[in-house]
Amino acid sequence: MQRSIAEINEKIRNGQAVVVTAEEVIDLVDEQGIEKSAEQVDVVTTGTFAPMCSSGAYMNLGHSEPRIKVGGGSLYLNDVPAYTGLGAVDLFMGATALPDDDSRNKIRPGSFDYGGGHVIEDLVAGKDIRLVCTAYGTDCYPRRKLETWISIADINQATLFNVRNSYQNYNVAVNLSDKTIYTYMGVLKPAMGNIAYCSAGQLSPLLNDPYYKAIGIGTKIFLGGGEGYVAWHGTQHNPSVKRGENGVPMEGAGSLAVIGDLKQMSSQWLRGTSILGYGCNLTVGIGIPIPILSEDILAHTAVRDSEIFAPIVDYSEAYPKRTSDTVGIVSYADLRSGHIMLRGKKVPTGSLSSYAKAREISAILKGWLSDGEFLLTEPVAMLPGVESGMVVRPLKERPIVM
Amino acid sequence: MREKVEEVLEEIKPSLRADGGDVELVDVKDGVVTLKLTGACAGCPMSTMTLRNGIERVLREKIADIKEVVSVQ
Repeated sequence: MQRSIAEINEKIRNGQAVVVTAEEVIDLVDEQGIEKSAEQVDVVTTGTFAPMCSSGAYMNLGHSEPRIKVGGGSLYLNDVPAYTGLGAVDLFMGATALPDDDSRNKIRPGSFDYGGGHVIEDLVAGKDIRLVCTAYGTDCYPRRKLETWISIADINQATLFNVRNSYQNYNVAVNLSDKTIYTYMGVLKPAMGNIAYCSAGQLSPLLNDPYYKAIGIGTKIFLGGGEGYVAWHGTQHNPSVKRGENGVPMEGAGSLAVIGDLKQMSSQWLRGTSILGYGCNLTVGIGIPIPILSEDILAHTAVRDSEIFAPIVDYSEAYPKRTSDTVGIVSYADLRSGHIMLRGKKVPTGSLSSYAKAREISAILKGWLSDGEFLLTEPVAMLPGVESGMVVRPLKERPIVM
Repeated sequence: MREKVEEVLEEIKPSLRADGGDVELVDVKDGVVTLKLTGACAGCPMSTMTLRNGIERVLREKIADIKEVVSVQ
């Protein structure tokens, strides 16, 4: 069975495309087998909704009168610093940025009530944002201070550009020490008091396309409630990790850089997130359609939580010290059951990634496709796969001798 | 006040239950609301933030007399 994206788009336009979610395809394959299901299904929709730290937005403010050169100056949105090393009135707000006067972890655990992710959520929600900027002044950009309210409707461009999202699998975190620790995986209670994981498992985009045969650069996606695109492979994209017999990575592997117009997104799917004792973040909703171009692609979308495994890592010692020790390996089916047995102890599990929201996203995207509102795009290039030999290297420190 | 708190919690519960979590009202005394997070919330690494930025924020928005929201295990 072979099918092209052009053929699928024709069916979408005519309202004849058969679209199922990555959950529904599992039952379908159980009932009908791979061959029959592949003949029947045109698109499988995936979804994920989780904190994704390498997220942010770039903006163009428009020129003030007289003009000011934000580039090289300092700029704050609701007291959160933005990156200004760009053109005169361009800026970038990162999800993890914090106000200068945030107490951070001076008194542990810090609460990190408001940061870059919250600014992005407020901007998308249409709220007024307080902008304070200082500049050094030039002949062509003489102004040195600017204080104004802005909103997403006022500014020229607001573009979400997340350089690492939608990680293909991830560590499962546990705490083997005798004290509570505060991590990006949330609060981990002492002596294996709880376990944290962060993946939509069988609904997660790249777990349904383990070898990146369908999702590529230029793939149109659901991003933050609007339409976006896969822009590139994400930072730390690491296709060369250990995989199971089904091709699914057994640890963090591929990732995506994604981009889209913030002006047509929704704060329902972009949420500023505070992580106790760790920092701020942006919880991002992403849904990716997988065109069923072959039986092989369909077979991969039928992967289920019991067939996806992740390493359990101790975040009190192994992770911070960057040793490769793992405490064990666990399936997402076991994690999603609410507890697992670890070293003879029944440990409750909890997810940072909302499976319910991932399910909702996959259903929304299915609706868009079924209604003919969303056409698929042909990737302009594929993501680096196993054959690329691409690996993620640790930082090699070289002492600076003066 | 207990009735009001219960009413607001009923509004919050569906979003917690969607991800397998839940909340029980343990006590309301002198403006202090004591809750117990149950189900998936019990093992959740973000339960502190759910309590503070989610449940407490909504309760405070809707019931002016609340002084504090605490949880017990």
